[in-house]
Amino acid sequence: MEAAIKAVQLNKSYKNFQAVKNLSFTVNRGDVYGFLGQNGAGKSTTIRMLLSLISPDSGSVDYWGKSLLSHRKETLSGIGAIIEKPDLYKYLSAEDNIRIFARMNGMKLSTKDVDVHLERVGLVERKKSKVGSFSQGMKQRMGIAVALVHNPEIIILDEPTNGLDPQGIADMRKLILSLNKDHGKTIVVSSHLLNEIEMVANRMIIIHKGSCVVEGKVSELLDPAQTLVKLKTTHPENTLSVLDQFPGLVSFAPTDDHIRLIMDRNLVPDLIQFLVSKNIAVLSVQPNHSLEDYFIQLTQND
Amino acid sequence: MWGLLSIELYKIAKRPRTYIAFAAIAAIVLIFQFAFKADGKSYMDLMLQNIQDNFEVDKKLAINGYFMCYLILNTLLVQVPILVALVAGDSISGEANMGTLRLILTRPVSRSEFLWAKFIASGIFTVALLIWMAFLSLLVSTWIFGVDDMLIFRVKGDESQILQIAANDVLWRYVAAFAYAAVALMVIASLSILLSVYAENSIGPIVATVCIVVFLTIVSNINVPIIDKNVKPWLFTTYMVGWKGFFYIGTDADGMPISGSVENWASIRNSISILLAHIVLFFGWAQYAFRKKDILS
Amino acid sequence: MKTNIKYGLLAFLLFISFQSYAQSIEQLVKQVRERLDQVVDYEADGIMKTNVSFLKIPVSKVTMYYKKPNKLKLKSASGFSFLPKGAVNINMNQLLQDDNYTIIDEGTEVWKGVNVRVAKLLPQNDEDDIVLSTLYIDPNNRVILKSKTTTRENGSFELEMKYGKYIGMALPDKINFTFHTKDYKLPKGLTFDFDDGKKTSGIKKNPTKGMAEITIKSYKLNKGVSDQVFK
Repeated sequence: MEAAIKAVQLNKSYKNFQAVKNLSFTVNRGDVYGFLGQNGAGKSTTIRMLLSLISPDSGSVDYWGKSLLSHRKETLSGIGAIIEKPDLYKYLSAEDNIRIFARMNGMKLSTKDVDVHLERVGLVERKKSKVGSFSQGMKQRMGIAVALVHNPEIIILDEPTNGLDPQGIADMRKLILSLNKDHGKTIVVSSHLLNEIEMVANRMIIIHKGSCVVEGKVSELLDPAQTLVKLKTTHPENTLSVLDQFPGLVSFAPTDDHIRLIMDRNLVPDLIQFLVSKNIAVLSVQPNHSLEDYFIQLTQND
Repeated sequence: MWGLLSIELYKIAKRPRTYIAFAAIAAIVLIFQFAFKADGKSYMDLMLQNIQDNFEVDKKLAINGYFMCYLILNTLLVQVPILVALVAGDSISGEANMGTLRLILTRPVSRSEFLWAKFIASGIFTVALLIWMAFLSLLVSTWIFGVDDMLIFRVKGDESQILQIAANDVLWRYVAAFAYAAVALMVIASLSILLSVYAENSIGPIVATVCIVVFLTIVSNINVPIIDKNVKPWLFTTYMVGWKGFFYIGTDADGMPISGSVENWASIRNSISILLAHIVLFFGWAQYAFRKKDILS
Repeated sequence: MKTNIKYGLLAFLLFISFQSYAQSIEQLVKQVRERLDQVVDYEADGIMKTNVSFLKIPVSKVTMYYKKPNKLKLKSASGFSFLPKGAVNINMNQLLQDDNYTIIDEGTEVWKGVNVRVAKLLPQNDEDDIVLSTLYIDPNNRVILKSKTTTRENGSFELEMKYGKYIGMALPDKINFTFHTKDYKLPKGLTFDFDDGKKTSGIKKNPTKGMAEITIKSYKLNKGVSDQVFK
């Protein structure tokens, strides 16, 4: 089955700062894929690369097996996005905004169509009002209406709950789940809050300093029984090539000086044996704590 | 592309600042017309001051609609670049500032087509401004002041001259002059769009455009041989007033004006070529920069 | 016999020329004046071509009005035009209107192939605008071909006349005015001029001389001209 989104070895740097480093991940059809990382980790940069707002220095992004670079219009026609807070044309009405963005997707909306889209987000009665007069929550709903106007298969939401009150956050969560379960949308949602991702996503990636920390199923990554293990071997490349043969690993990813594993800590001795049997000398194996604790630690350190 | 263009035109039409430009032009033109209706004779006295002893001139007929339009254009076409920059300078940076640029570019919209739509929309706005100017300064002036032969006061080298163009030989010149002015103002629009690509707020490109135009206009008017020879020919501001060339009527050996003629067609062609080259340069550069730009707003 | 005829012819020719010369300048001027006196008023339609270095103006339709004794007005027949002042307001009719001048015989000249008598007219009235006028008169046709006039208010100018079908009334078909004018200087800073790179010819024409040529197409003679026209 083709992946909805496949990002391979994405790199992006600005002057002396590497924002994204060798980042790869896959979003499957029907996933609610969480992008987790503290502020400045590289989430927004990555999402902007997914949406062709930023060009990666190297690497590729494919949608349904088609390259974003060479099939830009085609791939973007199936994507709806909200990046940070949704900014619309404040001097135009809600109706005008919907029509304009629909037109950019090659759609001419009838009055009835406009009403349907605005009804969906509870703004049909304010359709003639200028968006500049809307509250933050109303603007967020307008943003959703605009993102969904062309019925995209993939929806990308970058920090969608920023600036929302608790009710707004709850509504957003319900919407994400509804779009996924009731309408079969594939959704990518980024956040710096673990519990937000935990409540909506089925798969996730944690990014730190532009690199992948872990990627995998949320239920497995956040299982309290799972531990973050630091593994050092004499031959990291060989180790990475054999690790997917070891059962019981939730996820693994290389870092600068070690390999990061998520696994049941009780399986650590079996892992060592496995590596030895593959003629890989183990230098150190260091079980730490749960992923949740690790992520909290990350946010506290930085 | 036409969908994008219609969106851009709709947005321009819906913005209050668009109408500031039209109102400003109307105010300036009406002030001129009022002033000249009240006391145009004083201006004509000034212009003809040292030959009034030798020639009898019907000043009332001299201050006719065609003359008024020329006078108004002479002043307005120095200020209109600011009004063009007001819209064109906002084209990309305004969207970035509003946050809508990232929304637009996540749609299946080619960056190149989007910029073309902005450029053409700025062009249509410029032409609309010029049509408005033509309506007020030419049509309304002819209604107020009537129509007669047109006087042009010019300095050619170190000589001052008075040219008289027959009434039936004037209109085509105005059509040509306005067309030329459209090209000249599109240079300003292109420059503004280029600067807008690099900015994230509207004020920067608008102010920068005005500063560049003012600075280059000053350089274009400096009379220093090394600048005359090496710098001026390449500045677009040198050619901004080239529309006047359509009114420098050609003359025969006896100094009689030749109806339907222009003194120096080659110069006008050269001016238009330089202006078009600037449009290609500025807009081409804008396209290149915009396609490579990381949208961080 | 042949020789006698020759001498006879020669004597006759000498007699004729002597007769012409013998005619006093006063008499000649009087004859010219008598011809001019036939005209009580006229309305003349024509075109005016102005040749002044700083003026690039087209040929304009003009109408010249005259009414005895001294009313003359040049008007643009259609729309706007530059009408030279002063010079145009003098014509031969006015010049010779009264006897109040002293005539000095300046002899003869050949001017444009015509033997002309040259007369200087000095007005006796000190308040007259004309200070001095030199007339070049064709004695055979009794018309003035050229005049050079100096005035108090309007400077000096020349008139040259060419005659055609109205020669009987001493009314010219073509009048060339040559006059002095100040060089035109545009007040500074009022035009943002377009420098098309062309330089002026470098040969500065005499900026202080201008010429206007009026070609008369038709005269309406002695049909009455309203005084309103001259206001």
